Amino acid sequence: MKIAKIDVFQTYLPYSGGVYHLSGGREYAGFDATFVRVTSDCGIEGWGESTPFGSTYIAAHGAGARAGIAEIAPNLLGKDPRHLDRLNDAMDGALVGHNHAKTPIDVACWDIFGQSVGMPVCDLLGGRTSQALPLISSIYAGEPQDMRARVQTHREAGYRGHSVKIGSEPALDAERIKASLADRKPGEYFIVDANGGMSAEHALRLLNLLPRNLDFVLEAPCATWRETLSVRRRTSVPIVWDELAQNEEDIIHLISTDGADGIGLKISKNGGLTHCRRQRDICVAAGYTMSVQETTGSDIAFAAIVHLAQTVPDKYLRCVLDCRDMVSVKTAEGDYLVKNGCISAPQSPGLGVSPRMDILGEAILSYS
Amino acid sequence: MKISAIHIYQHDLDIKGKPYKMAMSAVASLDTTIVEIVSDSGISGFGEVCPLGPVYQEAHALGARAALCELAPHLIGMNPLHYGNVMHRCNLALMGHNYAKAAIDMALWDLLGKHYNAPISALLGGAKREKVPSYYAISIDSPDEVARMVIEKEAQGFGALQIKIGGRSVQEDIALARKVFEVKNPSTTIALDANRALTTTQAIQLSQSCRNLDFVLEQPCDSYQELKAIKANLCHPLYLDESAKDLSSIVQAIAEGVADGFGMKMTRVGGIGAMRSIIDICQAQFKPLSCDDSWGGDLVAAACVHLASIVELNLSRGAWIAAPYIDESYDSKNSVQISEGWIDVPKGPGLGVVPDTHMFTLCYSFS
Repeated sequence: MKIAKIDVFQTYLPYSGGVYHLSGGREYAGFDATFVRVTSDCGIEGWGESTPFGSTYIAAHGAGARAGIAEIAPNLLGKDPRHLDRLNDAMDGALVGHNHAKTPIDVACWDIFGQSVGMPVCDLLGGRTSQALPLISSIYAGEPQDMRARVQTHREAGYRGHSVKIGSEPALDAERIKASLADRKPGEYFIVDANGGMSAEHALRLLNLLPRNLDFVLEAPCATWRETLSVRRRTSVPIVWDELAQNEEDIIHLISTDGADGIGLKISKNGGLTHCRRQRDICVAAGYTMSVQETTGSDIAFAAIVHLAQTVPDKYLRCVLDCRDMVSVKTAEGDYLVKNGCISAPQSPGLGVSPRMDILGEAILSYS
Repeated sequence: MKISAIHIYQHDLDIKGKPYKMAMSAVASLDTTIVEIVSDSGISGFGEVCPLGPVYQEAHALGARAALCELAPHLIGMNPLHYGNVMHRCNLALMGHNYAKAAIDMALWDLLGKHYNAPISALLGGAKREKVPSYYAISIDSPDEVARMVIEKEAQGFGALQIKIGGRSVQEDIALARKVFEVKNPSTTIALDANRALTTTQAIQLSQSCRNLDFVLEQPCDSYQELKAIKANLCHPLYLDESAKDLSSIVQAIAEGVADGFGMKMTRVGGIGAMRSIIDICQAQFKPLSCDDSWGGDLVAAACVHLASIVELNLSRGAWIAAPYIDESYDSKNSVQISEGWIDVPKGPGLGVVPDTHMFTLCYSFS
């Protein structure tokens, strides 16, 4: 089997909640999404998505994803889409770095591989676990009582995991955490996520303002390795890494420095399913917990999240992000129904998605 | 003063003679991007970024232009003389992509210099000399061919040579090092640059086998962690290049005792402003550095030379520029060229190079 054609589509995905606020004054009203369709010489079509979280979350933006694909795509024609490691070698040989450009191609080839053998992607990645996957909410930084109400709304919808965003001022952040955790129910999991927005000083002041019995993990407190490790050494709160853990090398380095208790595994940030599979195994070996997420995205990005998360052993999987909640456009159909705040990977071959061409429109770039 | 327009141009810089060969790639022509920032006072500043192909580091020409298109609309109407504010706005508009931001940084410094009628070296504190040394980078080749090149480049006046190694058996690299030291002039300084290609084992083997040869080992392995792991096993001073990604990685490499010096790439770290901070830090810690870039035409070359001119003489490894590999010049009167191993510091205002934009292809304009 050979890759015969690669098509690129672009869609704007408005944020479903108006304006998303992130630490450091970052605001997003919508997202520039890139979709890739890989077509094999036998006519199988696979799909992938790359939707950076604005242009200031990590060093990734929509135009850069497409520039990267333009660099890579011509080098992949004629390659076997099922040989995923070799395909990733070819991508690395065409362009250093740029995980967000490589991810949609990698995911689309997994989709083809699955369809070609009649198996869902999660089974190709190691086989499905028996559990339904708990979804995590994304509670943007706002007024403490408003955040408490939004946690409650998600709780009522069945969510057992909550990602609470902070990062403006220690006392206010402490109030946000206390309010968000005020009605905590047994079995719930709270991530307090600063998205790299705090200094070490800010983080320690914040932690000192909190009562000791609050059950949460602290994610991405600071922007640099040095600051994050410094906070890690001076707190008993479990530390989860996200933006600073982008590849296997980062995670190995984290383990060797005892820098983390878990990571946020985001498919396009961490290099696609091929690389995420390796990172999953490294994390399991190290005893790290994982939440499987995306920078953001719509239905196709979510499908990749679900298939990967469905292969993470129960003990190590915390939550999955239903990124579809963050955008107001549905880009694909598929058997991805949320039941009681949980999701399971569909049984259909590949990713199990049918893109809505009325939304995706015409390809803006094609390589054949 | 306000930024009234930003133009983004593209140009192919052909390599004269044989393709330029490194451990992991070879290139015959480079895709460069030129940025023109136009002010409402009529003064324009120019900057340039030219990644050395898409696999030298995490940078490529298409990505540079994609990033510049993301940034440019945010800058229209800002005061270009307030350099720090403009760069801050760039950081609020796009995370990372320092190499693309460097082209904007250079254009702002060029505009500043033209406005105050001073060369950039003067704005940075003043040139310590009128010309800076350059070094010649000898592409990967057989020991005999490299030895021939060493003699040829010494005859042309170069007092410092960088020799590319890696991507083959370490025995061949060891043989090359020995051959070079048989033929070279005693005063010529040598850096062996693997551009990340050696395993930790190969780097240690090379260094231990060549203990009595006085060279600097530049970026032998891929990651900072690998370099840190082998540092204690090396007999030679270790210089960082690709691992010197930004200010914080340089501070860490000095603090952890991993780097003995740096081959700095101006656009990688974000341009002239970032390099100024790095020069200050290296001078405070007595770490030698060169002010280079991966590739580029006269604009990149001029920026590197201005920076190299302000480094204290005992710490300066000079500037590497791509001019010997390029036939054409952006400015017939003020082209930045190497003469007998040295480069004159441009004297004109700003970068001191006024490019003929007719040579370039205009890709995008913002106003």
